[in-house]
This record gives sequence, structure tokens and C-alpha cells, in this order.
Amino acid sequence: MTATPLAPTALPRTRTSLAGTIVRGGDRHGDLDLRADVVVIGSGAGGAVAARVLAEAGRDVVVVEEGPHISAREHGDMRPTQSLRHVWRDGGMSFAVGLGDTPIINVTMGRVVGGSSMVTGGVCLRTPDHVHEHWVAGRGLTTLGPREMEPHYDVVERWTGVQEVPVAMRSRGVALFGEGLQRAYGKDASLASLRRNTHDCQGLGRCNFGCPHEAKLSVDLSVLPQSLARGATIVADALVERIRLKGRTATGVEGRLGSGHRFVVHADQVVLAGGAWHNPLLLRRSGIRQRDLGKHMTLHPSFRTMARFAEPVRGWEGALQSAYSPSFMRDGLTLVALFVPPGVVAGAMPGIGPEHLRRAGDLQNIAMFGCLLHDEGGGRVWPGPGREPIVSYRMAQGDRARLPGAVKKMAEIFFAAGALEVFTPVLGLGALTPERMRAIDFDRLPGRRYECTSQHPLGTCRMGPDPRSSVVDPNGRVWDTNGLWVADGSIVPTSLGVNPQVTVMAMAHRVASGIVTGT
Amino acid sequence: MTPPAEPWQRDATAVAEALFASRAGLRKDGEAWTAGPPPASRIAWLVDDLDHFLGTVSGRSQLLFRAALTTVVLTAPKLVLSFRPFHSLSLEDRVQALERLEHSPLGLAVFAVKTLLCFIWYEHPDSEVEAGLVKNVTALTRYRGGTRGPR
Repeated sequence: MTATPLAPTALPRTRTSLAGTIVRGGDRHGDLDLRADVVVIGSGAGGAVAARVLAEAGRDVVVVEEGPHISAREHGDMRPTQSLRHVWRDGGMSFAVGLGDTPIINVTMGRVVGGSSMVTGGVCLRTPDHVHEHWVAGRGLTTLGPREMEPHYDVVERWTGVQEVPVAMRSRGVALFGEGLQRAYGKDASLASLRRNTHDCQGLGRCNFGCPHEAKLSVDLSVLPQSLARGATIVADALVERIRLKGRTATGVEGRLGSGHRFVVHADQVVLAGGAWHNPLLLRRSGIRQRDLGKHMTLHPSFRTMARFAEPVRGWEGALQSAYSPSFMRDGLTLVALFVPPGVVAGAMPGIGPEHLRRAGDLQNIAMFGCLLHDEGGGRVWPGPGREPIVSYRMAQGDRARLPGAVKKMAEIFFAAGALEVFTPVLGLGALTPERMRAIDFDRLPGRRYECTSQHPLGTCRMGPDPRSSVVDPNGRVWDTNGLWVADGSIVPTSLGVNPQVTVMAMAHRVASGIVTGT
Repeated sequence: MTPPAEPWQRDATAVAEALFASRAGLRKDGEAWTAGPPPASRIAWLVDDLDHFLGTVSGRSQLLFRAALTTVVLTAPKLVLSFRPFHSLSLEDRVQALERLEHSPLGLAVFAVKTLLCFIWYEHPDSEVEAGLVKNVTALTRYRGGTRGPR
């Protein structure tokens, strides 16, 4: 099927037709042809914020989202694996192929109106000052210093209701980890409260899979409604296949609706916010040929460590992600509280048959904590045979070298807290006691045995002052291209060391504000 | 009960029966156990829901899961010195074979299959009965959508 060529002048403005509505592309009979001032590709943390800034500035905005529109209430009604099927990209089964001595890394993302903000634990930590300072001093991005970014953080935190998680929202498992941390590393090594975009959280512990109380203020609840109120149109179930370019000037987008029909959005300005996983392929298909496109992906490779205590610790209680330890951030490690659905906990513990069921029966005694590596990058996006790209990731030597130490650190903290057994993310090791752990030379374990995940693919269209080593300029505009900006995690110049949601929003706010003011 | 329609469903059934086999008693030596299979209706529900799940993911991810499952069922019997197909092994042999494979260099394949099977298995309300699991985590698993919910 090819696009229906219609003269732009014959098209209705969205303000007079679909303004303020969500069009479900899967239900749409017939091709769709729209005209707008700005088309935003993607409705996640970046796209939603960009759309709101532009809509509030009076621009006629169309947001195009590949995934379906699922309300927060519908999401809250789903079982976790139903959420995986309908809200997450590829059922949560996307992965980066580990090259060399690198683990295979499961990378999870949202694919829905609201994007990955629908599937996060809601963590909203600002990028640490030393990272911003590195962007200024080491990358030449003089306008991305902590002071320059502060107003953008302030706005998006206000929009999304970012607040500190009360200590009372920590599970007993998290509290015990905090006690172990202090015993193992001294009084200064205490837990700090996370900041999250929640309102009236009742601690159901299922933020990643839809909050039945709509307490997590993902952008579908906190940012997109304001864009709709200002006349924006959201087209869901609509896969952008190509950004239209006339010479070096963007003129809109075209693609396929969920119903199989074609759509075109004519616009003078295109803002790409499709995420670091897919942006490079879309730009390449559209004729963008920056040398660094698709390179330098960072992932924040993460792993979880679980521990069994003699007493019930009820790890699922309270906020799913309530606290973190900044004590090792200078070493590139951020320890973050988390919990996952019971089936995932049970599946991650060793044992088959009766042994498996025995361990699953101990679930209330299981505590869990995560560790995130502030990585140097090494990921790359390649075109694949189907819709999904192939992503490779070669862990930098320094990152790989830190992995065993990080696992041991987590285990030591749990043992200091009184854990009977620790389950490390190393496949095949089984349950470890302190004695068994001392007998294992973690440095000699191959990288492929680590169970590694990532929720933070970043940097494949990175921002920089030099077109030879970046894809977008310091304002987010694709080098040597008019009318085309990128406003999501793919422009982040380096890994952050903290969950990127609020940074992505702040960067998008900055890019969109620049579009409005013409800078 | 309808038998599994495809070979991968038969293999998933055989793995799930072993993975969720419960203790039925001790053998005469007092050390080993005799495993009892989980209810066939639960396994059928699991495999049916797994089939639906795989129908919603990309061809590559389907292939990945099936490759992991195939690796498991082809390799595991060798670890209990058998050349019979995995699904034709006794339940005890299947449990033992999977345990050995889990601790082998091919543990990643077991992990991949086990993770997805467990994820779905513990969404069933009967998990409350088994191992006393869900009574402690009601809020995590019991939603307005019920057992099947809006698939």
C-alpha cells in the first residue's frame, strides 16, 4: 500500500477536525491525512513533554504513537503478563546481544501512549551535578550545566508531581538492606529516599504493570491531557515508517496505521521522540547519514540480588521503588530498591519441582535490591530482518571489571543484614551462604553467566557541539537538517548513573522550548 | 483434555509438569522424593496462555523462546543418561534432568524458559493454595481483571 498523495492545501487543519482527540489507528477505516505545525513522533516522556510545550505555545501539534492507547485504568486491570503483551515493547523480550565477555541484556521499554513512563517504577532522580559538569567540561555542551538545566527540571517535576517517597513506604526488606549497608560500610552509607512521580500512592507495588489507583503519574496522566486540552491530536497505533525530507528540510511523516491503512502528517517541524532503540533506524530510513547515528548506546546494565531472611520481610509492601544508596555512585554503582512480581521472583530462584515450590513458598521472606552500572556505553543499533532492530552491546572493560565486585558488595550487605542465603544474578550458582560465597572467585566467572537487564537505553543520537561526533546539535536539531529535532533519551550524551525519566523530560522541555523561541 | 497441538506445546507441557511438580512423599531411602504432577487443567491453562503471549511478541522473540525450549528438551535427557525424548521421561527424571541443566553452562536456556513459565503460572489464583504464595501477595496478583482478564 502506498501513501495517498493529497495536496496539503486541501487538508483540514487538525484544530478544526481531530483537535483534542485520540485517534485509534487500529480502528481507523481509510487513510489518514493531516496537517499540523509540528508532528511529534512518540508519546513517551520526551514526546509528551515536547508536545505539551509546543501546544501551550499555540502550535498545532499532532503526536504519532506506534503503540495503542490504553488508559491507566485499563492498565491497572491487567495481570502483569497482560501488561507485557499490550503495553511493553515485544512482550518485554527485547535484548541486546552481548559481544565479547558481555552478558545478554534484556532491555525493556513501553510501546503505548505514554511510552516507557507507563512501565517505570516512577523514579525521578535528577542527573547528578558531576555528570552535567562532565557534559559541559568534557563534551563541550556549555548549556547543559546543572544551573542551566535546573529550570527545565523544575517544570517537568511540577508537571509530573515528583515527590520524595516517605520512609514509611519502605518494605521491611528495604529497611533490612539499609541496616546491612550501615553495618558493612559505616554510618555514612545510609539509604536515601527516592523521588517518584506519584500522587496518593497506596503501595500496591505494581507500578511497572499499571497502578489500579492511577497513583503513578506517567505522562499519559500528567502531561498529555494538557496537550489535548490545547488542541493537540494523538494518533495511536500508528507506526511512522519515514520522515519526509525535501532536500535537507523535514516536511512531515508517513507510515502505517494499525488497521493497515496509510497515514501522512504534513508539518513544517518534526520532533522525533521514538526512543534510543528505534530512532537510528527511522532516521537512517529517512535519509539521515550522520556518522555516529546508532552508536554509543548506553544501557545502565542492571541486576538484582535477592536474599532470604528468617523472618518475613514482605518485599512487595510499600512503594515498589522507595530508596537508593548514593554511597557508591562515584564508583559508578547506584543501588536501588525494587521488587518484581512473585512469578519473576520464583522464576529467578534456583530449583525445579518440589525444590522450586519450597523456595516459592518462602516468598514473604525474600528481600531484593537492584544495582545499576553507570556504564561507558558500547551499544550499537543495527537494522534487523523484521521491525525490531538488532542491538549489540560490548561492555567496556572498566564496567565489566566492576560487575563481580558489585555482586559481592550486594551479597555482603545482605549478609550483614542477617540474610540466611543470597541469590546472586549469576546463573547456576544457586543459593549462597557466606562460606560458599567466599569460596567462589567471582572475577573468573564468564560475563555470559550474569543475568542482566536494562530499562534505560540512551544515547544513540547523542547531542554534541561537533557534527563529526554527534547526531544532534546542542539544541537538539539534527545536524545539517532543517525542521527536524530529537527530544528523548537518545540525545543524552553519556550514561547518567540514575534512572533517566526526569532527565529525558527535562531535555525534551529544553529542546521544545528552543523550538518555540527559535533558538 | 485436549492434547497439545504442536511439538513446542508438548515440550512446554513436559517442562512445566516437572518445574511445578510437588512433593508427594519420600522414597524408601528417605532422601529422595517422589514428585507428583500439578493438575493437568493448570498446565493446560498455562500452555494456552503462553501460546497467547507468544502470539503477541515479534517473530524473533518467539523464535528465541522456542530455541531455548528446544535446547532444554534436547539437552536435559542426556544429563540423566537417557536418549529418550524429554516428554517421555518419568516426572522424577525430568525434574532431575532440569536441575542438572540449570546448574550447567546451558543454565541460561533453563532460566529463559523458567522465567516465562513462572511469570504466567503464578498469576493463576490457585497459586494461593500451592506453597501458600499468594495469600501474602494478594495486591500483586489479584486484580479487578480476574484470572483471565482482558487477554
